[in-house]
Amino acid sequence: MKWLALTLVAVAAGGLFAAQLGDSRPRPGDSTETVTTAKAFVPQDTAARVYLTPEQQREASADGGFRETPRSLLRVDRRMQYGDFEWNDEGVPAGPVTIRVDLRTQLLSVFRGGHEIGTAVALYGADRKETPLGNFPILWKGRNHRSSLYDAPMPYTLRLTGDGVAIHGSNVRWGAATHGCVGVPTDFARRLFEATRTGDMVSIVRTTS
Amino acid sequence: MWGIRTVQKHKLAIAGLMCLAGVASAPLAVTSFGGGSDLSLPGVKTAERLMAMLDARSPGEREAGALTQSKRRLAAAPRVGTPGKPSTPPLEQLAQVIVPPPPASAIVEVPPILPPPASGIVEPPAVLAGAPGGFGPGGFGPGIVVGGVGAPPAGGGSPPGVSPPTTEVPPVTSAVPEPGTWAMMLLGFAMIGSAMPRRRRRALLSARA
Repeated sequence: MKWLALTLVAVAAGGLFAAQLGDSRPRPGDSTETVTTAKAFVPQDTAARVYLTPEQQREASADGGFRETPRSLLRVDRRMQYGDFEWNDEGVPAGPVTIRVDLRTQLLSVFRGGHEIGTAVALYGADRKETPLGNFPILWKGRNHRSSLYDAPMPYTLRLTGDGVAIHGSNVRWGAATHGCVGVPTDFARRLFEATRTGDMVSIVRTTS
Repeated sequence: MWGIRTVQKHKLAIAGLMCLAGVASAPLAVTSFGGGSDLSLPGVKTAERLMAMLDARSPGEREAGALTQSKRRLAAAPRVGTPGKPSTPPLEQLAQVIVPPPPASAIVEVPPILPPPASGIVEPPAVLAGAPGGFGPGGFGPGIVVGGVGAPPAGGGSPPGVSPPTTEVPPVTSAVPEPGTWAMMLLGFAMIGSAMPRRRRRALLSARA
Protein backbone atom coordinates (compact mmCIF):
# COMPACT_ATOMS: atom_id res chain seq x y z
CA MET A 1 0.00 0.00 0.00
CA LYS A 2 2.78 2.34 0.97
CA TRP A 3 4.69 1.57 -2.17
CA LEU A 4 1.65 2.21 -4.33
CA ALA A 5 1.17 5.61 -2.74
CA LEU A 6 4.84 6.43 -3.20
CA THR A 7 4.70 5.44 -6.88
CA LEU A 8 1.65 7.58 -7.45
CA VAL A 9 3.32 10.53 -5.81
CA ALA A 10 6.41 10.01 -7.91
CA VAL A 11 4.35 9.91 -11.12
CA ALA A 12 2.48 13.04 -10.12
CA ALA A 13 5.73 14.82 -9.36
CA GLY A 14 7.10 13.77 -12.73
CA GLY A 15 4.01 15.11 -14.44
CA LEU A 16 4.24 18.41 -12.67
CA PHE A 17 7.91 18.68 -13.58
CA ALA A 18 7.10 17.97 -17.23
CA ALA A 19 4.40 20.62 -17.19
CA GLN A 20 6.88 23.09 -15.78
CA LEU A 21 9.39 22.19 -18.45
CA GLY A 22 6.79 22.59 -21.15
CA ASP A 23 5.89 26.05 -19.92
CA SER A 24 9.44 27.25 -19.59
CA ARG A 25 10.39 26.00 -23.08
CA PRO A 26 10.91 28.98 -25.37
CA ARG A 27 8.29 29.40 -28.08
CA PRO A 28 9.38 29.38 -31.74
CA GLY A 29 10.41 32.83 -32.78
CA ASP A 30 12.01 33.78 -29.49
CA SER A 31 15.46 33.35 -30.93
CA THR A 32 16.93 32.23 -34.21
CA GLU A 33 18.33 29.07 -32.69
CA THR A 34 14.96 27.74 -31.63
CA VAL A 35 13.52 28.53 -35.02
CA THR A 36 16.11 26.41 -36.77
CA THR A 37 15.60 23.48 -34.42
CA ALA A 38 11.85 23.74 -34.88
CA LYS A 39 12.34 23.65 -38.65
CA ALA A 40 14.31 20.47 -38.36
CA PHE A 41 11.34 18.73 -36.78
CA VAL A 42 8.35 20.36 -38.44
CA PRO A 43 9.03 21.79 -41.91
CA GLN A 44 7.43 25.16 -42.31
CA ASP A 45 5.11 25.78 -45.23
CA THR A 46 6.55 27.97 -47.92
CA ALA A 47 5.03 30.07 -50.67
CA ALA A 48 5.32 27.15 -53.09
CA ARG A 49 4.85 24.13 -50.87
CA VAL A 50 2.48 22.82 -48.21
CA TYR A 51 3.89 20.20 -45.87
CA LEU A 52 1.48 17.52 -44.83
CA THR A 53 0.61 16.74 -41.25
CA PRO A 54 0.88 13.18 -39.93
CA GLU A 55 -2.90 12.91 -40.12
CA GLN A 56 -2.90 13.84 -43.78
CA GLN A 57 -0.08 11.40 -44.45
CA ARG A 58 -2.05 8.64 -42.80
CA GLU A 59 -5.05 9.59 -44.90
CA ALA A 60 -2.94 9.28 -48.03
CA SER A 61 -1.77 5.79 -47.18
CA ALA A 62 -5.30 4.73 -46.43
CA ASP A 63 -6.78 6.17 -49.57
CA GLY A 64 -4.48 4.45 -51.99
CA GLY A 65 -2.83 5.65 -55.12
CA PHE A 66 0.19 6.93 -53.25
CA ARG A 67 3.09 4.57 -53.81
CA GLU A 68 4.92 6.20 -50.94
CA THR A 69 3.76 8.50 -48.21
CA PRO A 70 3.51 12.03 -49.56
CA ARG A 71 5.34 14.62 -47.53
CA SER A 72 4.43 17.84 -49.24
CA LEU A 73 2.18 19.19 -51.97
CA LEU A 74 2.63 22.10 -54.28
CA ARG A 75 0.61 25.09 -53.21
CA VAL A 76 -2.14 25.42 -55.79
CA ASP A 77 -4.62 27.91 -54.42
CA ARG A 78 -6.95 27.80 -57.35
CA ARG A 79 -9.11 25.47 -59.34
CA MET A 80 -6.97 24.34 -62.27
CA GLN A 81 -8.41 24.59 -65.75
CA TYR A 82 -7.97 22.23 -68.67
CA GLY A 83 -4.42 22.62 -69.92
CA ASP A 84 -3.14 24.05 -66.64
CA PHE A 85 -0.17 22.63 -64.83
CA GLU A 86 2.25 23.44 -62.04
CA TRP A 87 5.88 22.42 -61.86
CA ASN A 88 8.31 23.32 -59.10
CA ASP A 89 11.13 21.06 -57.97
CA GLU A 90 13.17 23.73 -56.25
CA GLY A 91 14.90 22.38 -53.18
CA VAL A 92 13.49 18.90 -53.64
CA PRO A 93 16.33 16.39 -53.31
CA ALA A 94 16.82 13.46 -55.62
CA GLY A 95 14.75 10.43 -54.86
CA PRO A 96 12.40 7.85 -56.28
CA VAL A 97 9.87 9.36 -58.66
CA THR A 98 6.27 8.21 -58.52
CA ILE A 99 3.32 9.38 -60.54
CA ARG A 100 -0.26 9.32 -59.32
CA VAL A 101 -3.20 9.75 -61.65
CA ASP A 102 -6.67 10.19 -60.23
CA LEU A 103 -9.34 9.80 -62.88
CA ARG A 104 -12.10 11.27 -60.74
CA THR A 105 -10.34 14.57 -60.11
CA GLN A 106 -8.62 14.42 -63.54
CA LEU A 107 -5.33 15.24 -61.89
CA LEU A 108 -1.85 13.86 -62.36
CA SER A 109 0.75 14.42 -59.64
CA VAL A 110 4.47 13.69 -59.76
CA PHE A 111 6.27 13.02 -56.51
CA ARG A 112 9.99 12.87 -55.95
CA GLY A 113 10.92 11.39 -52.59
CA GLY A 114 7.40 12.09 -51.38
CA HIS A 115 7.45 15.76 -52.37
CA GLU A 116 5.15 16.82 -55.15
CA ILE A 117 7.11 18.45 -57.94
CA GLY A 118 4.42 18.73 -60.58
CA THR A 119 0.71 18.47 -61.13
CA ALA A 120 -1.50 18.85 -64.17
CA VAL A 121 -5.02 18.36 -65.40
CA ALA A 122 -5.07 15.11 -67.35
CA LEU A 123 -7.28 13.56 -69.97
CA TYR A 124 -8.18 9.90 -69.75
CA GLY A 125 -9.92 7.21 -71.72
CA ALA A 126 -13.43 7.56 -73.04
CA ASP A 127 -16.17 5.34 -71.70
CA ARG A 128 -15.64 2.76 -74.44
CA LYS A 129 -11.84 2.98 -74.17
CA GLU A 130 -11.27 3.04 -70.47
CA THR A 131 -7.94 3.79 -68.91
CA PRO A 132 -6.89 0.76 -66.84
CA LEU A 133 -6.56 1.22 -63.10
CA GLY A 134 -3.58 -0.11 -61.20
CA ASN A 135 0.15 0.27 -60.79
CA PHE A 136 2.29 0.30 -63.88
CA PRO A 137 6.02 0.72 -64.30
CA ILE A 138 7.17 2.93 -67.16
CA LEU A 139 8.14 0.40 -69.82
CA TRP A 140 9.51 2.62 -72.50
CA LYS A 141 10.10 6.30 -73.21
CA GLY A 142 9.79 7.97 -76.58
CA ARG A 143 10.49 11.63 -77.13
CA ASN A 144 9.01 12.00 -80.59
CA HIS A 145 6.74 9.04 -80.71
CA ARG A 146 4.10 8.71 -83.37
CA SER A 147 1.32 6.27 -82.68
CA SER A 148 1.19 3.46 -85.19
CA LEU A 149 -2.28 2.62 -83.98
CA TYR A 150 -3.85 6.04 -84.46
CA ASP A 151 -1.29 7.68 -86.69
CA ALA A 152 -1.19 10.59 -84.29
CA PRO A 153 1.76 12.38 -82.72
CA MET A 154 2.30 11.45 -79.08
CA PRO A 155 5.20 13.57 -77.89
CA TYR A 156 7.06 12.59 -74.74
CA THR A 157 5.45 9.20 -74.43
CA LEU A 158 5.86 7.17 -71.25
CA ARG A 159 4.49 3.77 -72.12
CA LEU A 160 2.78 1.92 -69.30
CA THR A 161 1.35 -1.25 -70.81
CA GLY A 162 2.24 -3.52 -73.66
CA ASP A 163 -0.96 -2.70 -75.51
CA GLY A 164 -0.12 0.94 -75.82
CA VAL A 165 -1.51 2.77 -72.82
CA ALA A 166 0.85 5.65 -72.12
CA ILE A 167 1.19 9.08 -70.64
CA HIS A 168 1.89 11.57 -73.39
CA GLY A 169 1.55 15.17 -74.37
CA SER A 170 -1.74 16.18 -75.87
CA ASN A 171 -4.09 19.07 -76.26
CA VAL A 172 -5.87 19.03 -72.92
CA ARG A 173 -9.23 20.73 -73.31
CA TRP A 174 -12.75 20.42 -72.06
CA GLY A 175 -14.86 17.59 -73.39
CA ALA A 176 -11.96 15.61 -74.83
CA ALA A 177 -11.04 12.04 -74.02
CA THR A 178 -8.40 9.57 -75.10
CA HIS A 179 -8.33 6.00 -76.35
CA GLY A 180 -7.08 4.85 -72.95
CA CYS A 181 -3.95 6.92 -72.61
CA VAL A 182 -3.40 9.67 -70.09
CA GLY A 183 -2.99 13.00 -71.85
CA VAL A 184 -1.18 15.90 -70.22
CA PRO A 185 -0.19 19.31 -71.59
CA THR A 186 2.80 18.91 -73.87
CA ASP A 187 4.96 21.33 -71.91
CA PHE A 188 4.23 19.37 -68.76
CA ALA A 189 4.86 16.10 -70.59
CA ARG A 190 8.33 17.35 -71.55
CA ARG A 191 9.21 18.04 -67.91
CA LEU A 192 7.71 14.72 -66.89
CA PHE A 193 9.74 12.98 -69.57
CA GLU A 194 12.93 14.49 -68.23
CA ALA A 195 12.12 13.78 -64.59
CA THR A 196 11.28 10.11 -64.98
CA ARG A 197 13.18 6.98 -65.84
CA THR A 198 12.11 3.62 -67.13
CA GLY A 199 10.81 1.55 -64.24
CA ASP A 200 9.35 4.44 -62.26
CA MET A 201 5.93 3.52 -60.99
CA VAL A 202 2.67 5.08 -62.08
CA SER A 203 -0.51 4.53 -60.07
CA ILE A 204 -3.80 5.11 -61.79
CA VAL A 205 -6.71 5.29 -59.38
CA ARG A 206 -10.26 6.50 -59.31
CA THR A 207 -10.92 7.83 -55.84
CA THR A 208 -14.36 8.04 -54.34
CA SER A 209 -15.62 11.48 -53.51
CA MET B 1 -17.95 -1.75 12.04
CA TRP B 2 -15.04 0.47 12.79
CA GLY B 3 -12.67 -1.66 10.74
CA ILE B 4 -14.88 -1.48 7.69
CA ARG B 5 -14.99 2.28 7.86
CA THR B 6 -11.20 2.53 7.90
CA VAL B 7 -10.96 0.29 4.90
CA GLN B 8 -13.48 2.43 3.05
CA LYS B 9 -11.56 5.54 4.01
CA HIS B 10 -8.36 3.96 2.76
CA LYS B 11 -10.00 3.06 -0.52
CA LEU B 12 -11.36 6.55 -0.93
CA ALA B 13 -7.98 8.04 -0.21
CA ILE B 14 -6.28 5.80 -2.76
CA ALA B 15 -8.90 6.58 -5.38
CA GLY B 16 -8.49 10.29 -4.80
CA LEU B 17 -4.74 9.99 -4.95
CA MET B 18 -4.93 8.06 -8.21
CA CYS B 19 -7.18 10.67 -9.77
CA LEU B 20 -4.82 13.40 -8.68
CA ALA B 21 -1.85 11.49 -10.04
CA GLY B 22 -3.65 10.91 -13.35
CA VAL B 23 -4.42 14.58 -13.77
CA ALA B 24 -0.99 15.67 -12.68
CA SER B 25 0.83 13.21 -14.92
CA ALA B 26 -1.12 14.20 -18.04
CA PRO B 27 1.50 16.75 -19.17
CA LEU B 28 4.15 14.06 -18.87
CA ALA B 29 2.19 11.83 -21.23
CA VAL B 30 1.57 14.67 -23.66
CA THR B 31 5.17 15.78 -23.73
CA SER B 32 6.51 12.27 -24.10
CA PHE B 33 4.14 11.24 -26.90
CA GLY B 34 3.55 14.51 -28.67
CA GLY B 35 7.20 15.43 -28.91
CA GLY B 36 6.56 18.82 -27.36
CA SER B 37 7.28 20.85 -30.47
CA ASP B 38 3.99 19.95 -32.16
CA LEU B 39 1.89 21.30 -29.35
CA SER B 40 1.83 24.83 -30.67
CA LEU B 41 0.68 23.79 -34.18
CA PRO B 42 -2.71 25.20 -35.11
CA GLY B 43 -5.54 22.75 -35.39
CA VAL B 44 -6.94 24.36 -38.53
CA LYS B 45 -4.40 22.75 -40.80
CA THR B 46 -4.98 19.28 -39.48
CA ALA B 47 -8.69 19.72 -40.01
CA GLU B 48 -8.28 20.05 -43.76
CA ARG B 49 -8.23 16.66 -45.34
CA LEU B 50 -5.70 15.76 -48.00
CA MET B 51 -8.39 14.68 -50.44
CA ALA B 52 -10.16 17.99 -49.92
CA MET B 53 -6.92 19.77 -50.78
CA LEU B 54 -6.62 17.79 -54.00
CA ASP B 55 -10.28 18.24 -54.82
CA ALA B 56 -9.94 21.99 -54.44
CA ARG B 57 -7.51 22.18 -57.34
CA SER B 58 -9.35 19.75 -59.58
CA PRO B 59 -11.37 20.98 -62.53
CA GLY B 60 -14.03 18.55 -61.37
CA GLU B 61 -15.26 15.26 -62.61
CA ARG B 62 -15.61 14.70 -66.30
CA GLU B 63 -19.21 14.52 -67.33
CA ALA B 64 -18.96 13.07 -70.82
CA GLY B 65 -15.62 12.78 -72.48
CA ALA B 66 -15.85 12.22 -76.18
CA LEU B 67 -13.10 10.90 -78.36
CA THR B 68 -11.53 13.61 -80.43
CA GLN B 69 -12.91 14.00 -83.91
CA SER B 70 -9.60 13.61 -85.70
CA LYS B 71 -8.80 10.38 -83.96
CA ARG B 72 -12.21 8.93 -84.59
CA ARG B 73 -11.95 9.70 -88.27
CA LEU B 74 -8.59 8.02 -88.41
CA ALA B 75 -9.87 5.08 -86.48
CA ALA B 76 -12.83 4.63 -88.80
CA ALA B 77 -10.75 4.78 -91.96
CA PRO B 78 -9.29 1.49 -93.20
CA ARG B 79 -5.64 1.33 -92.45
CA VAL B 80 -3.01 0.62 -95.02
CA GLY B 81 -0.45 -1.58 -93.40
CA THR B 82 3.13 -2.00 -94.36
CA PRO B 83 3.53 -5.06 -96.58
CA GLY B 84 6.63 -6.31 -94.79
CA LYS B 85 4.85 -6.90 -91.52
CA PRO B 86 3.35 -10.28 -90.72
CA SER B 87 -0.41 -10.41 -90.87
CA THR B 88 -0.69 -11.83 -87.36
CA PRO B 89 1.11 -10.50 -84.32
CA PRO B 90 3.91 -12.67 -82.89
CA LEU B 91 2.01 -13.64 -79.79
CA GLU B 92 -0.94 -14.81 -81.81
CA GLN B 93 1.39 -16.83 -84.06
CA LEU B 94 2.90 -18.46 -81.00
CA ALA B 95 -0.53 -19.30 -79.68
CA GLN B 96 -1.44 -20.84 -83.00
CA VAL B 97 1.71 -22.96 -82.96
CA ILE B 98 1.04 -24.22 -79.45
CA VAL B 99 -2.68 -24.77 -79.88
CA PRO B 100 -3.54 -25.30 -83.55
CA PRO B 101 -6.84 -23.67 -84.49
CA PRO B 102 -9.75 -26.07 -84.71
CA PRO B 103 -11.46 -26.71 -88.05
CA ALA B 104 -13.85 -24.08 -89.30
CA SER B 105 -16.95 -26.15 -88.55
CA ALA B 106 -16.02 -26.35 -84.89
CA ILE B 107 -15.80 -22.58 -84.62
CA VAL B 108 -19.39 -22.16 -85.65
CA GLU B 109 -20.66 -24.55 -83.02
CA VAL B 110 -18.47 -23.71 -80.08
CA PRO B 111 -19.03 -20.19 -78.86
CA PRO B 112 -15.75 -18.44 -78.14
CA ILE B 113 -14.83 -17.50 -74.63
CA LEU B 114 -15.81 -13.93 -74.08
CA PRO B 115 -14.83 -11.56 -71.30
CA PRO B 116 -17.39 -11.23 -68.53
CA PRO B 117 -19.90 -8.45 -69.18
CA ALA B 118 -18.85 -6.68 -65.99
CA SER B 119 -15.54 -5.63 -67.51
CA GLY B 120 -17.32 -3.77 -70.26
CA ILE B 121 -14.16 -3.10 -72.18
CA VAL B 122 -14.85 -4.43 -75.60
CA GLU B 123 -18.05 -5.28 -77.26
CA PRO B 124 -18.06 -8.96 -78.17
CA PRO B 125 -19.99 -8.63 -81.44
CA ALA B 126 -17.62 -5.96 -82.69
CA VAL B 127 -14.66 -8.16 -81.82
CA LEU B 128 -15.93 -11.20 -83.62
CA ALA B 129 -17.25 -9.39 -86.62
CA GLY B 130 -13.86 -7.79 -87.12
CA ALA B 131 -14.83 -5.54 -90.01
CA PRO B 132 -12.67 -6.62 -92.96
CA GLY B 133 -9.67 -4.40 -93.07
CA GLY B 134 -11.32 -2.25 -90.47
CA PHE B 135 -10.10 -1.20 -87.17
CA GLY B 136 -9.53 -3.73 -84.41
CA PRO B 137 -11.04 -3.47 -81.00
CA GLY B 138 -7.97 -1.91 -79.46
CA GLY B 139 -9.52 -2.16 -76.05
CA PHE B 140 -7.17 -1.10 -73.38
CA GLY B 141 -7.73 -3.07 -70.27
CA PRO B 142 -7.06 -6.31 -68.54
CA GLY B 143 -5.96 -8.24 -71.54
CA ILE B 144 -7.97 -11.09 -72.83
CA VAL B 145 -6.58 -12.91 -75.78
CA VAL B 146 -9.60 -12.48 -77.96
CA GLY B 147 -9.42 -14.11 -81.32
CA GLY B 148 -5.98 -15.47 -80.58
CA VAL B 149 -6.38 -19.15 -79.93
CA GLY B 150 -9.92 -20.30 -80.50
CA ALA B 151 -11.33 -17.95 -83.06
CA PRO B 152 -9.11 -16.75 -85.86
CA PRO B 153 -10.62 -13.75 -87.63
CA ALA B 154 -12.53 -14.55 -90.77
CA GLY B 155 -10.55 -12.11 -92.85
CA GLY B 156 -7.33 -14.04 -92.37
CA GLY B 157 -5.71 -12.40 -89.39
CA SER B 158 -6.14 -9.06 -87.83
CA PRO B 159 -5.36 -5.93 -89.82
CA PRO B 160 -1.63 -5.31 -90.09
CA GLY B 161 -0.03 -3.08 -87.55
CA VAL B 162 -2.87 -3.39 -85.08
CA SER B 163 -1.95 -5.47 -82.09
CA PRO B 164 -4.78 -7.05 -80.13
CA PRO B 165 -5.00 -6.43 -76.42
CA THR B 166 -2.87 -9.23 -75.16
CA THR B 167 -0.92 -7.87 -72.24
CA GLU B 168 -2.32 -8.41 -68.81
CA VAL B 169 -2.07 -5.91 -66.01
CA PRO B 170 0.53 -7.29 -63.58
CA PRO B 171 -1.19 -8.49 -60.42
CA VAL B 172 -0.44 -6.42 -57.38
CA THR B 173 0.88 -8.57 -54.56
CA SER B 174 -0.11 -7.57 -51.09
CA ALA B 175 2.50 -6.85 -48.44
CA VAL B 176 0.35 -8.69 -45.91
CA PRO B 177 0.66 -12.48 -46.20
CA GLU B 178 -2.35 -14.67 -46.74
CA PRO B 179 -3.79 -16.25 -43.60
CA GLY B 180 -2.81 -19.68 -44.88
CA THR B 181 0.79 -18.62 -45.43
CA TRP B 182 0.90 -17.03 -42.04
CA ALA B 183 -0.53 -20.14 -40.37
CA MET B 184 2.04 -22.31 -42.13
CA MET B 185 4.84 -20.07 -40.88
CA LEU B 186 3.52 -20.24 -37.32
CA LEU B 187 3.23 -24.01 -37.62
CA GLY B 188 6.84 -24.17 -38.77
CA PHE B 189 7.99 -22.11 -35.82
CA ALA B 190 5.99 -24.31 -33.47
CA MET B 191 7.60 -27.40 -34.93
CA ILE B 192 11.08 -25.95 -34.54
CA GLY B 193 10.23 -24.88 -31.01
CA SER B 194 9.02 -28.34 -30.09
CA ALA B 195 11.91 -30.10 -31.79
CA MET B 196 14.68 -28.12 -30.10
CA PRO B 197 14.11 -29.17 -26.46
CA ARG B 198 13.46 -32.74 -27.53
CA ARG B 199 16.76 -32.89 -29.34
CA ARG B 200 18.54 -31.32 -26.38
CA ARG B 201 16.97 -33.85 -24.03
CA ARG B 202 17.98 -36.68 -26.28
CA ALA B 203 21.55 -35.36 -26.46
CA LEU B 204 21.68 -35.13 -22.65
CA LEU B 205 20.40 -38.67 -22.31
CA SER B 206 22.91 -40.03 -24.79
CA ALA B 207 25.70 -38.15 -22.98
CA ARG B 208 24.70 -39.72 -19.68
CA ALA B 209 24.49 -43.14 -21.21
